[in-house]
Parts: sequence; structure tokens; C-alpha cells
Amino acid sequence: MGGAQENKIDALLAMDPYGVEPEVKNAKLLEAMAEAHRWHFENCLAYRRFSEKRDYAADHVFGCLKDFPFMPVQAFKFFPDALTSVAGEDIKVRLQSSATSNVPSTIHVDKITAKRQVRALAAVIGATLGSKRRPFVVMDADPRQAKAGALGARSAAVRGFLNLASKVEYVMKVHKSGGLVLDEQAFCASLDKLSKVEPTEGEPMVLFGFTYVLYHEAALPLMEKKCSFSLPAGSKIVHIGGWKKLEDRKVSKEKFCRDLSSLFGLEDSDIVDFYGFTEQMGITYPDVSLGVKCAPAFSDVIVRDPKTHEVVPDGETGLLQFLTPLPHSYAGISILTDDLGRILPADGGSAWHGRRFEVLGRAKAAEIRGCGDMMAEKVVSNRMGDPEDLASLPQAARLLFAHGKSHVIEGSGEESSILEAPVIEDIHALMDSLIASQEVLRTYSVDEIITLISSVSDRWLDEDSPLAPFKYQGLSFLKSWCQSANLRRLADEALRGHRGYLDGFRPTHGSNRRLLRAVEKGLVAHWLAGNVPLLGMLTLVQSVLCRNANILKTASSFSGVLPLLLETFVDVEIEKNGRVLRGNDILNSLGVVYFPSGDIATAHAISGRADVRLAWGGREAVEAITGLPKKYDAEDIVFGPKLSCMVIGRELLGSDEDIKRAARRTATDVSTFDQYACASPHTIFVEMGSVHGTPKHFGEILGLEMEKALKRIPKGLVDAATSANILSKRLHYDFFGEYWASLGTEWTILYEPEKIELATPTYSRVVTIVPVEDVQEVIPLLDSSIQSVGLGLKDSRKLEFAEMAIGRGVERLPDLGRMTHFDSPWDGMYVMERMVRWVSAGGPM
Amino acid sequence: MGKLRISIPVPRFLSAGEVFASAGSLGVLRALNAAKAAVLLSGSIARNDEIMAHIRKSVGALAVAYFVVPAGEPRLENLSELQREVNAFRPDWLVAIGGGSVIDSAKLIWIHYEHPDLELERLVRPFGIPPLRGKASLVAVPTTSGTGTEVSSSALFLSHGTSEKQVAVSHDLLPDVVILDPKLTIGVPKKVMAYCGMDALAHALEGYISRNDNILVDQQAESVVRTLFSSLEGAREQPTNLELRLTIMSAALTAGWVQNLKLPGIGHAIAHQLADVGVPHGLAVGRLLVPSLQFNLNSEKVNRKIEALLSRWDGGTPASLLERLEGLATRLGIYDDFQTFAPRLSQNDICKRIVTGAQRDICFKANPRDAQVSDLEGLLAEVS
Repeated sequence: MGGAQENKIDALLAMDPYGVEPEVKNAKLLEAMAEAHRWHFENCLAYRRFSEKRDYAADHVFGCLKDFPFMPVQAFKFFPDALTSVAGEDIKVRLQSSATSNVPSTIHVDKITAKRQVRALAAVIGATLGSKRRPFVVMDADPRQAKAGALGARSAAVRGFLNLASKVEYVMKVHKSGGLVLDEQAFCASLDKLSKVEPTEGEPMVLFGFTYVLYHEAALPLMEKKCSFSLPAGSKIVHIGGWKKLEDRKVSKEKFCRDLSSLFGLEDSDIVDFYGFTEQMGITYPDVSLGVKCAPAFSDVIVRDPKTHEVVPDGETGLLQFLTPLPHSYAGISILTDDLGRILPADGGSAWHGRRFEVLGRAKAAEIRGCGDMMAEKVVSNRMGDPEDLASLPQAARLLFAHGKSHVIEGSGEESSILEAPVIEDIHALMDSLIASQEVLRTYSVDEIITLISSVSDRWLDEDSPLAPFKYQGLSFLKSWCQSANLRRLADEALRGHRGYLDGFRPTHGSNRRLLRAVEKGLVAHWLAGNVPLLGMLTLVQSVLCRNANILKTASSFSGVLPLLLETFVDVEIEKNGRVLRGNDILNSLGVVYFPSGDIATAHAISGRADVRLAWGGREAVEAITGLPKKYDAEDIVFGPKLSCMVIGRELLGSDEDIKRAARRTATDVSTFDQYACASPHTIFVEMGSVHGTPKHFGEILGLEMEKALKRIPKGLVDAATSANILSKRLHYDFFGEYWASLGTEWTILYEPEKIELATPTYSRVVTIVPVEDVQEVIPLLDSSIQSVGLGLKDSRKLEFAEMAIGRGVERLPDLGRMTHFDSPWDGMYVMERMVRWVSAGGPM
Repeated sequence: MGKLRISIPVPRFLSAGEVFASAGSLGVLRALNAAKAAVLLSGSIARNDEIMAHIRKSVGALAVAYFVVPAGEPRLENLSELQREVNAFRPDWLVAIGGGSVIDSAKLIWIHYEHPDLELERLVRPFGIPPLRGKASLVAVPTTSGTGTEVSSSALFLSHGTSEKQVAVSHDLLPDVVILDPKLTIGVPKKVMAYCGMDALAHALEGYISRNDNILVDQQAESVVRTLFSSLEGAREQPTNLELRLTIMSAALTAGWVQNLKLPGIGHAIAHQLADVGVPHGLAVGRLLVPSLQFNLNSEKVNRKIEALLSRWDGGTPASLLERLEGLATRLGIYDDFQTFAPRLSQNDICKRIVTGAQRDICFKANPRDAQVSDLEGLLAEVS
């Protein structure tokens, strides 16, 4: 790197981090950033490709900081080696974040970067705590046994702070379980020593630790023992590491500060939270007042929309992007984090100069999604949190909806909603009442029930309906699925061609010597694992048509959509042919409950009583449910985790028009439900060999059609974690391959010519095109975990492929453009047929 | 297996599932083997103890319920009470015994039994009715010879206060079983025999020259014309001549095929509107047959077609056919009976309404020659 830039960065570091006027800072930082961009462009191939794909050259003239290309933070999880900008021998240390369940981030640090990190950290800490060295009591285990070379970022962060310590005492020890526990004796001894022993006697000290450990493992045990301390005046409590785990335990910042200041005899303002992240180690952001951060001279912050990545107006929440020219050995100068935050108004009177912002927490981690949480996650409006308080109770079932009444606090969005729902005193009594209500349902003909459901569903998308916002998140589909003609067709198909079997005995084989009748099984227990309210409706409706009583067990992350849907039936009365059809008659035969996994008694009671057990969800969930005790003759209907893909033969690429048509239909399948349906394709195998269109050409045309599909099928909200996942997927192809994508995260088409395999789903309109020489190459990849293969083949090739695919366990082979139409059979079965008993009278023949 | 869905008009032959035709064939109902059969009857059949005894003996079902269909043209609001009763009974077979109105009423009851929430808009949308037979099947037992509804894919009706005839069309409406039993026609009044016979003749002749070609039924149409000229008057005069009666029933069913597969023309288009002024359908088409054929004979193609028919009959000319038709209609009392209604047709507002309605009628489009408002007014003027 040229000396000019070193000077620019050195000059930045030499400044008072919070004393520079904004105009001066902006100009200096922009210059330094431009130089840093050039350095990494010329020395890091991955950064160069990343920049070139966005039309940035080495000498691009940047008008402002917003113009810099931003690297998603995930890049340092998956491609740290590719992002190195110095020779291997110059790397002094690899810093790794302390991820327990996720892939850790890694950065390669050389001498130059390390030096800058130390200077930056010292400048900020000095500005916050004062430049005089102080004694530190560290609420952590002594890290000195850590291996050199691969240093944990946590330890590195601690060491960075400790550079300013006059003396250090570690007061936690590692428990045999691997966790940290407070060594109370050592803690008290340390406090005692530091406050009484020369030369630190009476000197202000710093109590330092990770936010969660400090509170949960140190402060809480001390508070429970009614301890209290009085630290010397001017002492500070400094904590780093973030709030996520404490928020999960419902500890607010205010409570944190209150408890700690009271425990240690300090003011709230003496407790300082430092925010930072591994990928820009050395830059840290202390509170300048409670919850308010301020960017120092050598960094800045921008907030971007999670979906479009456009810069949002000040005050609006979005993903935080941080820019700093400090990283020299790795291309981490402009990073889009998966942390949420917002820009706060400038405070002209404050001594702290720099952009002020607030960190609002980590974007919810993406979860592995199976069939069970398709569509559903997109319609979550007021999730309830994991009610851990219930988890420990032996019997804590809550009633969320029954007898036509919702017990969920509508629209509250409060995590405590489940806790506030009434406790079910006697689950058997509830099931008795549901079963008793079947008597009324028996007076309805199947067509009367269909008429009632269809009529109610007609209103779901009315402008004044509380459900209207879910139009493009699956409700539009559910509404059309509930249309009477469709329900009748489904029932006819499932019940040997005649839904009339549900209304009375019918002759079989042209003779009334032997009659056949379909009767409800009895009680159907639905386990809606993983937020599946809309899918739950599909099976609930079919069960109601069969006149079963229904008990629905929701997941802990219960959505309010299901109660909203059920509420649309409350007090509905429809007159048809002289009969009044009442929504309450349906509602009285169904109940929605929640109970935690620890509530074995309720789980056993429901499972043991059910005549049909219906489970949606991932493998673990459905295996746990089917493993519960049951009636020996209970029917199990399982919708386990499934994936889908698409196969397009060369015969569909014969002309421009053919390619466009196939691309349009593919775009429909990828866009519907934003790919959260188990029938949505994630991989498209495209056959080579057409003179007219290569798989790559198909990808280009598909890009155009995906853009058009955005208008036809508007995209739902994208959570920050999904957005981050999309970006990290794109990154690989940024560095090593090709892809087509929207400007924001709306859609992404990855091109994978290297490996013929099924892509791992990213969801949210991310699809991988895999070229194959012959569609037969796809057959070995198929197995019983594949639900649908969209067939873009013609004539006998279509039949031949279908025959081979079903031999591998595939259950559906729909046409392109129709993959996500919920159909019967589904997952290899006619659901309604499994929800009835077949009874014969007369005969046998 | 369902019918093939084709989107272009290719000549095809469609009929009811099974057709039985003989004196006493009503006994076939024993083979129904229904669990619950709903028998829908005309009032006149219900009052006929002898026929009712025959029916009661014949229906093969564990439970049978009998329902009398309101008299007159099917009108949706008049059927609601009957609909409720049938729905409550939950039959797996419907058996319609009566004239065209009874069978059309049964079809409408059937549609709404299977699809109680079907909206009028969808009911009248051509082929818009969702599939039938999820709950029940249909037997049609005509007791008159002419309407052909026992082999038609449609049901005519009036709805909610309007006088305009509407039509539900679906090939699913073709009955599963048709029984032609001449014994049931013994008590049919001579007038009804005449009107229905002329309706069948109009189906055959108007359908024969229709814009919709269908070689599969053209020869049958010719055969119907010959049969009705030779046997209709005799059958009318000899109610107990079951052989003649069966011949007419069979010819009427065959004419029903022609009507269903080719569609008649402007004679029927106008006649459908005359129901509003109380003209029985058969009387109206009988009176309009000659003028409408005369209008169409101005087309070279129609002329050639009629000449072909005559060449395979007795070699007359189109003009002579018109004379023979006029003669038959006169002898059957059609012209005289029509005079009762004629004066009303000359009223300006009624004439206008009829012409407007006829232009919207499905048969209007099937007429081989394009007809203008003035043509329709001319036809009306000729018969009024």
C-alpha cells in the first residue's frame, strides 16, 4: 500500500475520534476509503470481481460513502481466505468469532491492521473511560491458555480493552460443562485487593465483561444472595457482546443498568455498552448516552432496507452498514451486517461529534425450514415468543381458540400472549365438548359445509378484512382453494368419485345389495409445527368436511393468522334452500391449543384420544409426534420435510417463444409463496443440446421473467436474516461464478455448471440453474425427500422421466407454472380418504 | 371417464348414458339399485293411479320419495321448496318422469343439489356448471314426444321475475339413463301430441339446415322428417297403438340428438320468446316452421341441403316441402290454435321485446342465414 494512504489513515487515527467536525471527517474518511478500495481492488481477486460486477473500477471516483460497494458480513464466514489482500506470510493472526451454532467469521490480520486496531480501540476507549490506565476486574476466565494463531475474537476483544488496564484480575472459571461460573471468592478478593492495595487504593476501577455473562452468570447469583458492593467513585462497568441472549430472557437495557448500578453502588451512566463485531475488529462504539452510539472519525454507519438495500431515511430501521479504511490485510472496509438499527438525529449540543445511531438487535437467525414452515412464516403477524416459562411446567396447556372465541390477544405482538391465554384445566373435558359438537355437524350435508366455508372465504380479501394484508402471502391461494367447486372436486376425487358417500349409503358395483358409506373418524389432532397456519387450514377444512372434531396444537411461534381465519366464521349465518348454515356450528367442533414440549401429560392425552394424528413439520417434530402413545387403530397423516426441483428438457428450448414461455412458468413457480412451499423449486436442471437456447440463455430470460413476476406476484416482506442469506449465496457466485439478480434481494438466479446436485434452499426467490447433458442425470439425485419435480418435458420423454422419478420416491410431477397448486393427492395420499371410516351395509357380494 | 374437452366445434355424437325403448320399459327402473331414489313427477302422472302403481312397483331403491314438480315452465324460485325437500332426502338417484318441463326442472334440482351455492351467472355460463354426479345420477323418463330434453345437454328455465328464457348448458346434464315407454303416453291429450310432434319436426328440420355441420346426425334428421310425416297423425289419433307411439317417441328422441348436436335456428329463437305471451312451445315452433324455412331457403346452401333430403325421400321440391309442412300443421290444428295468440304479437312493444330476445337466443346464432331485425319482424308479422 502506498504511503499516501497510510498517511491518510494515520491522520484519521490521530484525530480526536469524537472531536472532528462532520464536514472535515467526511472528506478525510471518503479519501481514505477510496484509497482502501483501490488497495483491496488491486490485491484481492475476490474483492476485485465483487467490485467489477457492480461496475466499480480501481480508480472509481466516489461521491459519498453511500456509493461504496458493501460486502455482506457472511462473506467472512464462508470465504475468509478469498478475501485476504496480503501474502500469506504477512498474516500474523487469524481472528475467529465465537459462534456456537453458526459458522464463525474469520479475518486475517497482518501487522498493519493489528496496529491500526490497537490505535483505534485505544482512541475510543480513552475518549470514553479517560486516558489514564485503571485496574480491570474481568468477568471472564483467564484466556492466556488460548492457542496462538487462531485467536478467538472474544479473547482478542478482551485483550484490546486490557491494553488500557493498569492491572487485571480474572474472576470467572470454566465449569466442567463448558460454561462460565463466577468464582465468588476470587471476585470478592479482587475487589478487596484493588480497592485497598497500593497503588490502586481508592482508585476508580473498571468491571469488564460480556453482557450476558456479566449479568446472568455474575450479577444474578450475587443479587440472589442479596450481596451489594460499593465500587470507588468514578468506576465503570464496561460490557461488550450484544443483547440478544438477555433480550430472550426479557432483560431490558434499563433493567440491566438498574440492577448493576444498584449491585455495585454506581450511577446508571457508569455502565457503558460497547458495540462492535469481529469483521471490523478494533472499531468499537460505546454508548454516549443510554443506547445511543456514535461513529468515531475513522468509521461511519449507513442504514439500508433489508429487502432493496436502498439507503433508508434517517430514523427508519434497517440493516447497519459500517465503513472504515482500517482493514489492510482483508477486504472488510465496507460491511453490511445482519444487525438492525437506525440513525438518530444529531445532537448539536453534545461533545460527541459523529453520526449517532442505535443498535436494535440482531436480525433473527434464519432457521432450517422444511415443508412444515412453508408459506406460514410469510404470514406471521404477531408471533408469540418461545414461552420458556411454560416449558418447565408438567401441565401447562393453554387455550388459544375454542367455542368460537379467540383467546389470543389480537395484534398485540406481545411475546407473552400465550402466557395470557387461559390455562386448560381439563384437556379431556375440552376434547369431550369438541366431540359432542359433532352431532350438529352431522345434520349438515357435505355440500352445506362446503357452501358455508366457501361463502366465508369469499370475504377474506375484502378491503376491510383484517386478513387482507396476507393476500400475497398465501391467502389468495387459500381463498381460491376454498371455493366450493374446488372443494367438491377434491372431495369427489378423495372419496371414490362421490362425496355423496359422506351424506348417506350408496350402492356399490351397481347393486344396492351392498352399500357403502364414509363416516367421520372422530377426533383429528393436528400438530402445526413450525408456524403453519395456512397449511393447517388446508387440512382442517378437509377434516371439517368429513365432520370430524378437531384439536389443533400450534407451535410455540404461533401466528395470529389462524385465529383470525377462524374468527371470520364467528356468528356467520347463511340461508341456503331454507336452511340456516351457521359458522359457529363448525367452530364449536374445533379448538386450538398450545402446550410446551415438556407437557408430556397433555401430549399423551391428545395423542391417546385422537382417531387421526396429523403432523406437519421437520423430521424431529414429526418423529416426536408419531412416537407418542396412540390408539392402536389411529391413522397417522404426516407431512414431513420435503423439497422440490424442476427439470427442463431441450425440447422446451426450441425457439425464443418456447424459452420465454418456459421461463415465465418457471418464474411463477419460483415466485409463488416466495418459495416457502414444499412444492416450490429451488434447483432447475436445464438440458443442454438445444441449438436455440443454452441453459445459460434460459437463465438470462428467466431473469427478465422473474422481474415481471414481481408485479404479477408481489413479494412478501423479507426479514433481515433471509436477506443476509441471499447475499451470502450471491457472494459465492460473485467471487467464483455467475448469477443474475435484482438490484435488491427480490430474486436471484445462480448458475452452477460445476456440480450436478440439488441446491440447498435459500428461499425467497433464490433458484439455482444446473445445466445437464441429459435429464437422466437428474434421476440419481431424486429420493423420497423430493416431493415435486416440475416437468418441462414433452411426449414420451415426459412419461419415461415420470416413471423413473416415481421409482425413486417422488410424489408429484406437475407441469411448469403449476407446481405450487395444492392438489389431491398430496404427499402421496388423498387426505380426506384418511379422515373417514368406510362402512359397508348389506352384502358381501 | 368424462367427455373429451374440445375447444373447436368438431362434429361429435353425444347422448345419454343408456337408452331403453319399449312398451313396459319403465320396469328397467328396478335395476337402478339405488339406496335412495327421488322420483320427480308431473302433476298429471302423480294423479294417474295406474301409472303411479306401475312406477311404485318399478323403482329399485331401498328408500323412495316422490315429489311433484310445479306445473309450467321451470322457474327457479318456484323450485325452491322442492329443492329443500330433495336436499333433505339426500338421494343418490333422481328419476324424472314427465314432459320436457319436468325433466328440465329435475336437471335444475340436480344441479343445485350438487352445488347449492351455484350462482346464476355461472349457471347460465355455457359449460360453466361444475361437474355433476358427486352425489347423484339422473334418469329421464319422458311422457311426451318432442322436447328431446332427455338427450339434451341443457335445461331451459326462467329466473326471478324475468320472462326471458335462460339456459344451463353442460354435457354433464345428459341423463345417465333414458327410458322411452309408450304406455306413459296413452293419456297424453291430442293437442299435446300435435304440439310436441311439431317441436320434434322443427328440431329435425331446423337442425338439419343449421350452420353447425354434423354429418353424424344428418341422416337421422332426414329419417325423423319422414317418420313424423308418416306416423304423427296416426299416433295422435290412436293413443293405444303403442307401436306407433313408440315410433314417435323414438323419432322425437332422435330429433333431440339433432337439436343437441346442431341446434335449431330462428324458428326456435323466436318461439322461446313467445312463451312470455303464453304460446306453448310446440305450437310456436310449429307455426314458425314454414316461414322460417322459407326465409332460409333463400340461401343456396340450404336449398341444396333440402333437395338432398327430398332426393332420399320422394323427390319433391323445396317448395313442395313447404306445402306439405303447411298441410301437416294445418291438419294438426297448429294454424288455428295459433290464431288465439296472433293479435298480441302485432303489438309494437311485444314485437320489439320478442325480436330483441330472439337475437340473444343461442339458436339465433345457429341459423344458416344471417337474419336482421327487419327479417325477424317480417317473420313475426307473417304469423300474427
